[in-house]
Amino acid sequence: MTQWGYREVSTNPIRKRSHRLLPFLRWWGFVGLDTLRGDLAAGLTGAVIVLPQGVAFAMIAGLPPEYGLYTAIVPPIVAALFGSSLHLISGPTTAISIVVFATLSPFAEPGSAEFIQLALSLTFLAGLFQLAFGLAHLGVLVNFVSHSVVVGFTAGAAILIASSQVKHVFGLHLPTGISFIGAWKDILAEIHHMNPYVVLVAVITLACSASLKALRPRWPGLLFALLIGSLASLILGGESHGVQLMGRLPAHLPPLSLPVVSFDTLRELAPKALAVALLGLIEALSIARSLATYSRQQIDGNQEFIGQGLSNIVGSFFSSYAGSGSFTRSGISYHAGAMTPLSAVFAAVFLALILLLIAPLTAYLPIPAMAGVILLVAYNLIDYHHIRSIVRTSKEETAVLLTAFLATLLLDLEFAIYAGVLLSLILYLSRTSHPRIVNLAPDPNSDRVLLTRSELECPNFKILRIDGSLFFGAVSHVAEFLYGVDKNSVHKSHVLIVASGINSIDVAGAEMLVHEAQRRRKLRGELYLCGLKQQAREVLQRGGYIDILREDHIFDSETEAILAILPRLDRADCDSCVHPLFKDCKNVCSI
Amino acid sequence: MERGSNHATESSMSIVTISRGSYSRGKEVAEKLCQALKYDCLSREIVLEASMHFNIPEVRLVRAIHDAPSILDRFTYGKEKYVAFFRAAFLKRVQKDNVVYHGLAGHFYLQGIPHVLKVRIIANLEDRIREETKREGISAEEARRILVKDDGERRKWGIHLYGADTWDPMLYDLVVHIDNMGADDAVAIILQTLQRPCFVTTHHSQSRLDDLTLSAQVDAALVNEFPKVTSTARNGEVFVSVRASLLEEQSVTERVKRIAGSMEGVKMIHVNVVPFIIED
Repeated sequence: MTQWGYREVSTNPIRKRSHRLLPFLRWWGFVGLDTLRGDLAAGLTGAVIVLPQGVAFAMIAGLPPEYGLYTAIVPPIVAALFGSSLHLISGPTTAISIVVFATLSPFAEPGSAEFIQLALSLTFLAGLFQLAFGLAHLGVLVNFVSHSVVVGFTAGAAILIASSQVKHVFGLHLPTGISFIGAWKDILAEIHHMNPYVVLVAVITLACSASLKALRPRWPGLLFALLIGSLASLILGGESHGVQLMGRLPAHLPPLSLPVVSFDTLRELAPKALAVALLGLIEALSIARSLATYSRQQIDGNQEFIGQGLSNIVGSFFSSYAGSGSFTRSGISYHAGAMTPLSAVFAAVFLALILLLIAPLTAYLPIPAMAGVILLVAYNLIDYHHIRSIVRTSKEETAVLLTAFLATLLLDLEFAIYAGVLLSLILYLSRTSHPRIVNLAPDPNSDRVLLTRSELECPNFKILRIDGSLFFGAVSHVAEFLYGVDKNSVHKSHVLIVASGINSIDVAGAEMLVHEAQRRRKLRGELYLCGLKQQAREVLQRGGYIDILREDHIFDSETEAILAILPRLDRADCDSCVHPLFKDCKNVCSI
Repeated sequence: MERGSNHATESSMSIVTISRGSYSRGKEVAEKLCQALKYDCLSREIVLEASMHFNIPEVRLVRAIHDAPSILDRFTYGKEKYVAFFRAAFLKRVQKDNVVYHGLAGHFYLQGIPHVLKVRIIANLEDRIREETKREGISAEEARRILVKDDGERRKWGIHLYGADTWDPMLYDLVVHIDNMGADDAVAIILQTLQRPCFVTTHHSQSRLDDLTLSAQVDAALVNEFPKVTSTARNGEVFVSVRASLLEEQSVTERVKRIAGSMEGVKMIHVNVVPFIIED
């Protein structure tokens, strides 16, 4: 019987090829009645949630409201089937909507036919860029975004999402799209105008969703909570007391469209489409990775790029404007029980059905009820467990987490993402350029020559282990350390580097070793190496460096090295040594 | 047969499974082998035991362990449930040792148990058609159609549930082709094989069978609630994998422990929630 794991490897080449072309086949085998149940519940909840969001985002983008809903039907299906993340829900998003508006409004009147046409062309071009990036395997860059950045970004985004809903919870009429601090200033200034009916509806919905999640985790709690919130609003006569309802939606499926890509539009829109493409990819991948911290899924960046690209290309033929991954909807979907990308497909199908069949009923859905549900989702998005462990583990990582968190709150979302990526790269470069250098000494409890980490040192002989690659970026740090050895003790001219932790050496690293060996000889000492990996040894051999380092100074094992080096040491001071480290130190002293 | 009997008296405890196609004389071989070894002969009895123990209709159980799964089965998990019940009953019965089992699926369930001799009896299709025509009084054409369909169903069943083809010789220790040899010759060959030390029950092999049996009992107890459950056991420590969202990890773990924790032989349970499987 096949033992379950997260990833199963097929050896069938036809199957492998088909999995690459049609990535949904990779998880299709996992689909069953239980996953369908979870995906249906999540899909239904997601469809209800995207209704008001789609309308709002389309308006932000300068497009008629129905275009936001069209964008929430076709692109999410394509992105889910061809992407990598099992839980990412794509479609219209705030950040992309803002960029679309800012990009196209100089060229055409927002809402006009010309504007819509340009939006479709921009979407098509952005999709082409994204697809090209995916096919060029640039998705690997996402691996450089550190876990702390993702956790910080997620926590910041959760607070942003929650903050954006506070006005709906209190029934305040405040402008949208302002900064985090500005939003809270406005909220605090207007809090005395809060509407108790609105608050009651929001609190009832929030309490129901939290209780259902705790007591009946397998139920579609968010959806039930929305229904209860809607009923509460009806019973309280919410509409007459200022409870804002979502309103009727147009009953249409996305009509076919044709993005026009002439030479002129290409020249004008290509640079802007590139920006939209990059923002969309970074947003989608950050969210996918963020969700993956909960689901423990490995994200394939290239596949995600391809999925996002295809979704925008196909979407542009179905009246959809540029979309990306949505943090709110992905979080809601995951917490509502989504197990496979079919949840995104179901959400799109349900949205289409809602539009066609029960569009008038959506008029009764209260905005504060949706805000209550989103508050709970935002709370659940904050990964307290990982935040605690990061804070306990490393100050450096904590600083990165805090920076990503604050940047998300205080800067534009896209800049926060860029800052996160930059921070991750800086962190990575800093780590790789500072390989760990450990002082070693013989284990006094071992009969053999076994070197372990120790504070003790032989006055004549320094043994150290380098953990990391010796490449151009790390050369300065290692060379500085080796110089430091002599500063502390002029007699310590013999140095053995245990190289078992060095995975690779480049020309700069090899040159540094050679210079160090030559320098040590001038100090009446030697540089020795042991435990070199094959790849590192080959570099030294090919470049002729071994001749300078001397073949008899390079040993296979620590024991061999110690036994060969000890007789070569200057033993003049051994008599006065207070820490004889080696077993034959006494013999050496008595000679 | 005389020789076989002598060997039988010398042999230690062991288990023999005989996989066979319809009308390939496997049943006859199994029955003669039981007589020679003085072992229990099991086939349909397991179905009856499972049917009574888990309170399910016999006909459904027979279909579940014979017919190839339909597309609907994939989503309803009916087959997985019945198969789990059958497997639990089967392993519980053979755990007692000194058993010859002939029929469906036994060779799948006892893979990796050293003291089990897994035998496949095959016969020429024309011989099988002749046998069926004689016994059932149907035309040769009809007999051929039924046999080909039956073989196909069994192969599909194995591939769907265990990813292995019943016709794959790698599943067996011994494949006996009933052509010019008779049932007695086949029995003699099996008895001869059974004398090899590798098929003698040892403490280690019995312990592995006990572990397998325990995991099958746990699977059967959980399968109604978690249709895709798989478990392994080692000296009473049971490792259960069930699929669910990680959001439900705690409640799922509690449910699994509640259902299976108090079962006989279970000393400790570890629950692994599998939220997805991606095939590369």
